[in-house]
Amino acid sequence: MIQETLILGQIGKAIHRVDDRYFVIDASNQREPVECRPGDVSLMLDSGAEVSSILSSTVDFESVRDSLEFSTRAYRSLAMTLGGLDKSLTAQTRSLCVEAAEELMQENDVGAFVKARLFARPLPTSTDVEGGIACAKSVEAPLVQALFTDLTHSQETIHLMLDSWEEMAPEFFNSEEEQAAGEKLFIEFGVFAKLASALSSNPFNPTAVNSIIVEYGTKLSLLSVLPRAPQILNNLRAILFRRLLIPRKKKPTLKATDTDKLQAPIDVTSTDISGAILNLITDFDKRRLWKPSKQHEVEERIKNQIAAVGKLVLKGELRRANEFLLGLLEFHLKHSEKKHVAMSLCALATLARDAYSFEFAKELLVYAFALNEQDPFIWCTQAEVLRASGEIESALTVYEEAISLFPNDEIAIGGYATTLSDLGRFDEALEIYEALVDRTPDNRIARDGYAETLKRVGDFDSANKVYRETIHMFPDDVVAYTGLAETLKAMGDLDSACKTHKEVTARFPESAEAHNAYAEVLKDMGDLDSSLRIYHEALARFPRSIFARNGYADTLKNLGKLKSAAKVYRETMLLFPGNRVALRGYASLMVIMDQFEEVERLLSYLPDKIVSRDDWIGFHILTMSRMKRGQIDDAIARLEYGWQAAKWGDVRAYFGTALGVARIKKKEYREAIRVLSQDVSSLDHFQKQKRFAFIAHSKAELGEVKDAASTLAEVSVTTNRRIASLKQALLDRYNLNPINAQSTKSRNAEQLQKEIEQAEFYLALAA
Amino acid sequence: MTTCLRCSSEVGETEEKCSTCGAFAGPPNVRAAEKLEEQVALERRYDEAVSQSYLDGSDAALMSFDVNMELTFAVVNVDIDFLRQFVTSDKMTFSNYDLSVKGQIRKSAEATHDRHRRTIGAMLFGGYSEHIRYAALSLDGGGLQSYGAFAIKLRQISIANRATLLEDNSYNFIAKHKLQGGEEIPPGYVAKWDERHKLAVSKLAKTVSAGTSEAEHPKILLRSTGDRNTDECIEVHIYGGFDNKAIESVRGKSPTKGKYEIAAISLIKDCLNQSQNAWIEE
Repeated sequence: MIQETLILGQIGKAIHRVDDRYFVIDASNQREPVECRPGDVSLMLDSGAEVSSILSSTVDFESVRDSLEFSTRAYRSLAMTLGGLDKSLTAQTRSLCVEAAEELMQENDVGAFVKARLFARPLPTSTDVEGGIACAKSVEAPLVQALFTDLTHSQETIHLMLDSWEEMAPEFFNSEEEQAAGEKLFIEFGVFAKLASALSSNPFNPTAVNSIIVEYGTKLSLLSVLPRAPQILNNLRAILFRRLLIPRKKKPTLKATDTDKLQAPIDVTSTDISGAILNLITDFDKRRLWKPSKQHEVEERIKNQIAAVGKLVLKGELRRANEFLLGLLEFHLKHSEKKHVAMSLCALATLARDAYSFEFAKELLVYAFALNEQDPFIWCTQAEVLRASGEIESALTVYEEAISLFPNDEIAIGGYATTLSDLGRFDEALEIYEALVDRTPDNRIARDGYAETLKRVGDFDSANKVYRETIHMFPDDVVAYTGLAETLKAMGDLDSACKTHKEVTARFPESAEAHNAYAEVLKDMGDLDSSLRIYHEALARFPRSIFARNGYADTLKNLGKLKSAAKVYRETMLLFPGNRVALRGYASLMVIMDQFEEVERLLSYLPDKIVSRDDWIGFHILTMSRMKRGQIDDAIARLEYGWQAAKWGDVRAYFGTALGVARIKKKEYREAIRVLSQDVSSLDHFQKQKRFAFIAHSKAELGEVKDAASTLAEVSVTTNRRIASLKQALLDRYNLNPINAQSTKSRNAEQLQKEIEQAEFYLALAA
Repeated sequence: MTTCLRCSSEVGETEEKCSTCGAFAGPPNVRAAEKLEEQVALERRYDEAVSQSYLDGSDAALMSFDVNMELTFAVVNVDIDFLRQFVTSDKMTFSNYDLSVKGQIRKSAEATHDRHRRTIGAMLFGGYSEHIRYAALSLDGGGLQSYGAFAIKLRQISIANRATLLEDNSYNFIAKHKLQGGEEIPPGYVAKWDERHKLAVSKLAKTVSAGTSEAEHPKILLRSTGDRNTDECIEVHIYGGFDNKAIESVRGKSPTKGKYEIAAISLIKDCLNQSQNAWIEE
């Protein structure tokens, strides 16, 4: 049995409920009702179609279909009529609409429905009645033509009638919603349409208006749904007659210039929020009024709020982060010691630093300092933010200030040494680290920093020793293990490095970084398939690990699966929109795929003045892209700049390597050798191998074949596919190894030259 | 459970807003698809499908299919009256004469949904099923004709942040997995919008062989039989409604008879043209 029906004539559908199941009836076919699928009902209601509801158990399927079919014809006719009036439509469409409307309006009730609607509202400015009339004439549609002509004459009275309704209705209805429902009834019953026609008659005939009021005031079908209809109609008539005697004032229209006077929405800029936060902090003592009873709840809430701000920072939504921060600080300051608030700000600044939002990080530290807390951690955090943003001298100054204020603070001293190391002041850095490790032998961070600096200066044996001691003292120090493996790799002992990484991965299965490092060394060894497998495992274990995703993509790139690599990078960028490593990896891939415009677009975020380490890497990729597209002089100028200006030794080194390749490409071999020979001793194993190969190439081109052969003999890597194949191509191209003369015959000089160029470019791009 | 970013209260899995402070917590269907177990299970299915393709020698064809699946979009099939109403609903000439009483629509909708909660949608989405709109994933713009002859292609920007995908249409999915009310759906069969290609590969890899050409991909993805019971598709679930600004294009066949039908299509094409959306003739 049908329990309820919704008729949506505008879309030609009815939904009815039978035994709590919903069925849809379609006016455009005679098929049996189809049971609604999930979403059917929502979609229909989303269409904006009018809904009429029949709540009755006496309604049968046939009467529902009859109601729907009439309703559908009526709404189709209305839509077609409006189409004939719409001046934005083409003449052809308007004519077609008028023709269709004429056909549909042959049914009297349909015509009455359309008229009831059209005379209930003034014509909007988007209509063109004159055009509609002309169109109706041209397609010979007399019903539509008459309707449009009446409509033109009735506009004044339609305004009058609606103004009168607006004046009178609030007295009879409790809400706007009720009033709208009452108005709808008046329209559907045709009250407004008839009144508008009567009021338009010339000369004005009050008797015609009175007849309408009496007709509808006694209509039972209207009274059954609106019992107060007679009073409403009488009041409406009184107001209409009064207004007819007093000429209606035209409604003022809003000029374009008036909009300027409208108050603009308040824009709470981040500056306003910053001011609010500083006020909050400086008024802190006055505002502290009460203490909470449940400390653990407070701590939990603060922890969650910090996490929330942190998430926004990582997403790059700094405006919202600032807004949340205000809320966090308000609560935090009320319930915590100032020192704890300062620590929270430092933690957030570190997060912002890691998300490359250096300015936001600095702003957070301004707040932290404004709390007037004397804690070395605030100074150290500021120094680290400065260091990460490339302001290394400033970072050093802050560390010096921290050490003068807190002479025994190990973190400040260690950070100072690391910063000296960044500046290439290795001797000073090592001296400080040695003293620190002597003084605090159980300071594992100092030990790891010391070993890392030893690695940087090329003292791999000492680095190896320190890492091993640290591992002996702290068997759970994954950083030391990884550092040791990396040192072995830098020494060229790839088998030991690989073995160590494998052990580290087994020992620390929850460390994504350990998996990543293991996969990386396999990649360096040329075992790309195993590397890919480890990355697969890492991704299964840590599906959101940015390291694993980027490493996986890079391995695919090395395997020549460029499309797949691009896909992984794109996914990673979607997952981690602020991650520059993925973006740069993708940009680098685009260089290989000759998508130079895409590279420019991706790296357009780079500032004019390159300062941070990350921006230098991006700058390098952009430069390599320009070199590949033939802008060699521009590329050389940029590489020279990077080689001289970058603050980090390893960054300078790969700019130097790429500069050497650019010089080779320009056939400036002597200059290439000069650049490539600089600081070779401090380079890691792979960088050294690349440099030797490039130098050998330059020497060979200069005709120094013997010398070239001995330099090339230094290239001992056979596992890295690109270095190995470059070496072979150089041997073949310049006949540096007579034993392999056979292979020279199989490839001509042109082919070899191309191979060499490609390999050198790739190795220079890979930094 | 999700933690409210504003007030740190816990937000229920089926809630879109924090009941404490009213902050928006994100579409619940997307949050559900982002759960770690869902992502890991889908990733695993995807990896298995890819690995199998290497064994079968269909890896290149599957990679091509995979890449194409990233280019897919959501389509909603409707009939001519719906389409006409939908595209004209924001045009002043037409909307001026609408007499929708918001309260009435809302009451009708609420009453309907209250009862609808016991249905398929409720099994998949619980309390927020009334907010879900359904579409089909398509590669060539074709949709399920059993829902109407005209396929509306939705703009990616209008749904990407609030759409998720289910491997099959909801009815078939519930039936295939023999799910009863209150049972959790098995993980790995839903995906976020950005990972729709993984779901498509997981589901359809077995139908892609070394000889499969790109031209076959649209039909592998979506099979419109004209009968809702036998249609095959990946279903798109969109949290919340959409208006005609979400349209990117409409695909259909222009009628050649019926004054109303011919005029209505002409009107629809004009409106699409004005909003710079395409009509694609079949």
